[in-house]
Amino acid sequence: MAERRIVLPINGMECGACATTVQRRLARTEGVRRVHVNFTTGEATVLSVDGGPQAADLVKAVREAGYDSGGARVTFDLAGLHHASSIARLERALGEARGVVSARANQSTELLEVEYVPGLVTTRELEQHIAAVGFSIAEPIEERDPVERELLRQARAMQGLAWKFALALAAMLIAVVASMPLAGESTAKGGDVVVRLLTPLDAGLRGAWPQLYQLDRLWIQLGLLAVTLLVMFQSGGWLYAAARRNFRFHTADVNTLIAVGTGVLFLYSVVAVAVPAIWPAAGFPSDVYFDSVNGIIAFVLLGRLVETRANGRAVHPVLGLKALEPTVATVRRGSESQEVAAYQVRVGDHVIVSPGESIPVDGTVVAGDSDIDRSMFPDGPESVAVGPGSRVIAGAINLTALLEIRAHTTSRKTALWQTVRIVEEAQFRKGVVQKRVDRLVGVLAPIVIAVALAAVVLWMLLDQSSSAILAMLAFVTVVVVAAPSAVSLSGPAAVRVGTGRAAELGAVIRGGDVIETMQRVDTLIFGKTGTITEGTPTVTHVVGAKRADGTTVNPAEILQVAAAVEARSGHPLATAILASAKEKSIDVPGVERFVEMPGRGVRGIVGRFLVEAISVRHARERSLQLGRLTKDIDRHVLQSRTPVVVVVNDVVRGLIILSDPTKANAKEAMAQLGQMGYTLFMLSGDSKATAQLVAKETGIDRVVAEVEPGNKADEIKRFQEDGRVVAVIADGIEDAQALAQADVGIAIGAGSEIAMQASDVTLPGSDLQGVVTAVQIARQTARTIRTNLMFAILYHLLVIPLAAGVLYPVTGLLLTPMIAAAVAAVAPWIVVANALRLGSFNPTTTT
Amino acid sequence: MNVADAVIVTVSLAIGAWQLWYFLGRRSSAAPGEQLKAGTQEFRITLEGGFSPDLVIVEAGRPVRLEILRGEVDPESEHLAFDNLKVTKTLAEFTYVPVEFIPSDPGDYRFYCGTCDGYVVAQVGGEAARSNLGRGHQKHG
Repeated sequence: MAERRIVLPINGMECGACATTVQRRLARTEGVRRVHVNFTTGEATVLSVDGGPQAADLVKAVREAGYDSGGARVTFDLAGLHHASSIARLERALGEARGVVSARANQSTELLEVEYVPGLVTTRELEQHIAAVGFSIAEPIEERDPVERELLRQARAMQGLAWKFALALAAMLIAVVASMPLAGESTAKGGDVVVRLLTPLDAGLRGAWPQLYQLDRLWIQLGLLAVTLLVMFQSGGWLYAAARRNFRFHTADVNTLIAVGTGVLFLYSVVAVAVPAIWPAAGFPSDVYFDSVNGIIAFVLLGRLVETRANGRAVHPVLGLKALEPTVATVRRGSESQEVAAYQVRVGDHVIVSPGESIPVDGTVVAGDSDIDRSMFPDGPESVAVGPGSRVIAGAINLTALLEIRAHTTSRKTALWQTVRIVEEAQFRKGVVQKRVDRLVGVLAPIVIAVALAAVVLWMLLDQSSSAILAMLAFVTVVVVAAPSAVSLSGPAAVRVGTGRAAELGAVIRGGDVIETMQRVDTLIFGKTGTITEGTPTVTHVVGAKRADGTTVNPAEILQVAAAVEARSGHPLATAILASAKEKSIDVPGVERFVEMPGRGVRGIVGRFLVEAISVRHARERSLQLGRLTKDIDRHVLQSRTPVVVVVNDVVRGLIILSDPTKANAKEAMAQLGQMGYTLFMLSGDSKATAQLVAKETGIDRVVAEVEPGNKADEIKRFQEDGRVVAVIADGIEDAQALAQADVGIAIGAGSEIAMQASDVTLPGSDLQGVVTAVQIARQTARTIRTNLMFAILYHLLVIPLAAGVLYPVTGLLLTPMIAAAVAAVAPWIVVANALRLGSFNPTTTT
Repeated sequence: MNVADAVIVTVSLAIGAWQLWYFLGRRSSAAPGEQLKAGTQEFRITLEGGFSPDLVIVEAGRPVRLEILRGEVDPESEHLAFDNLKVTKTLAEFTYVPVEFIPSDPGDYRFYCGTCDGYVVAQVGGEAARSNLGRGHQKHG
């Protein structure tokens, strides 16, 4: 029967228990087959039978549970957000607007996501709010391919900055050369590092171009004024416009600092040119600083060029994933094959994939035998043999022979595309630390201006002999050197590269908040079936009970009736029993009045008999007579096998013994996680003996066994109430409630969209080493964020006093505005470059 | 310290204090939203290999405006239609096309183009649900 998938936003959830509550309420709605609620993302994913409940019924159920489903989200592409240090202001201003639930901006991607209540505010009004705070919506790029679109965006940004930089650089060089005859005997510039560095050049220039030194000072100054004005308008115009907008809205950012710094120098110089006598009369030299103005603007633009380029590289992990999917596909429609754009492939289409081509959509092979390379999900062998009936995923490369595939999805619904979407969404999710950083950055600029002015006061009070001009230069140097956006980029750049790299390594992490929570996790709780074990049990023995007349029940008979009731269940044990019956060519009869008893087994009417396939625990609860089968049970349990008791009309007729081997590298992965300091638990519905054996075999510390599926969330809650921060690693489908309750839910072996929606971390592969990888890259990303923040803070603590002139009394040297601009240009690049190192992160494995 | 120095110190201190007050002082927000009218429920939907979002929740009986951006050139996705509503629309490429209607009754309203579909879910009691928000969390403690 076809299924319908509905994803509902859930409002009002404040903890994992809320997610469990919503999940239980939705599961009770008639026609619902499966529900996953993710507390982190605030979404419920519901699978229902086609023709089942309307979405409206589900919304009603959510509301009855004391929560809400509604609201809407819209994403805006903001021009120049990357260079603004005022994300907190933007988010706060939008957040305070009527009808807005939340606003989250990301400087790294220049995107703003707004959650709002439709009916209270419209998207156009949101655009007005954004404009009112001083930001503008970027022009849309008419390019369908998102990879091309992103590259075009970057190219345009680079191009726009490049010519502005070229103009400012040329002006700076002209200004430096032309300023040499003007510097002359200036005492104020005596401590200027640039002047000292250029002294040899000055001597050479004097000999090579004496005419320059004979020109009238006024003409040189006027020429420099004209060039500087040109640069300020053409290259730095956006900067002053941004500062002006900020001022109107009572805010200050990087642009404000640069505008203040260059503005002070420019105005001082203009006065020196226009009224040369005024500064000497006030005790100031009549110097001009046009070279510094041009230099600062040039270095600011250079910094942004480098930063934009580095940020473009930070986008590449996501672009790399997107690029795995081909843009064209060959589709067989009727008797003809035709090449179409990949997005035109529809569900049910037959797609022809030649050797060497990438598979465009998820689907099933209907014809052809070949090998495929699925190395984009590095959970197993790179090369996998496929044939009719094999499921294949988009992005894998067909290696050897022609394949015909029936499409299960369109190109935008593939597992790979879902991964890309989640990685992109991850950029918006901020942890507590990042939110604090954003708030700090929002107040940094006014504090820097205050510190710079304090430096002026100190200069005037402490150094009576020095010229006031040095105090002014110290002021400008401080505001320029403290301008970089290194602090605000520290987290987003690392999260972006870290989550991108994690996705490449097969771990889809939902965002910066998940990375942050993962650092607090001290307890890892694993599910058993499908997590620690392969999850594909097989029947190893069928044991018949003794009848009253002393004969033994025929094993084929036991398998037949058990398969009949298990045929309606989706449990892995049921699947194995049914497969075993089919393998032995046993005719499986139909079943009526089927009932699934979670954690206990199944029952139904087969023919005239009530047949049950139940757990040993349930058989004992009901005091059913197991007789000599008890010995068989004990023997098999001691070998980690699972017995299923088959009961007909309340009489035990036999046992079906199943074996589910542990995953090949489970022991190594557990050892590695144990060494990382985690306490390891296993949570299982199986008997204590079976669960303990599996735990012992794999090196898990403790076991909580015989837990019914519906109680797993409560068990997790008990761990949390004991003060533990818990990550649950489990099958995304069977253990949805436990995943929802956990502080971090890690779904393993979960390539489907529903499992990705449900978990905080998704491991599409089934390899437990993926857990180690996810933990390691999350730790590395968190470490990178800390390093970046530490660097950015140290940078400010170190360079601001230097710029203020603390070394001047000892060395006689001053950091000049132009040098400060050069230093400031490098700082953000260092932060982004450090984040980019995550792109080459490789987990350490023991296998 | 001469008069000029004293002036510089005083002016610096004054500007420093003023700019801290100007930039960091608390002030009531401009709250441009105050003038907004409750009414039309507006959503932006992107059509690119599927509708995103493919489900929007609205209050029944109030006007709805969907702004649909067709980010693809597939001719199959050019025409948009609704079940149970007499609404059809031609979607231009890379342009927001507004679609306005009023869902009179609660329930699901399916919209579709040649390649994919989505739902407008009309409900009643949204305001009550919003005001009750947090009750679920309180219940389970």
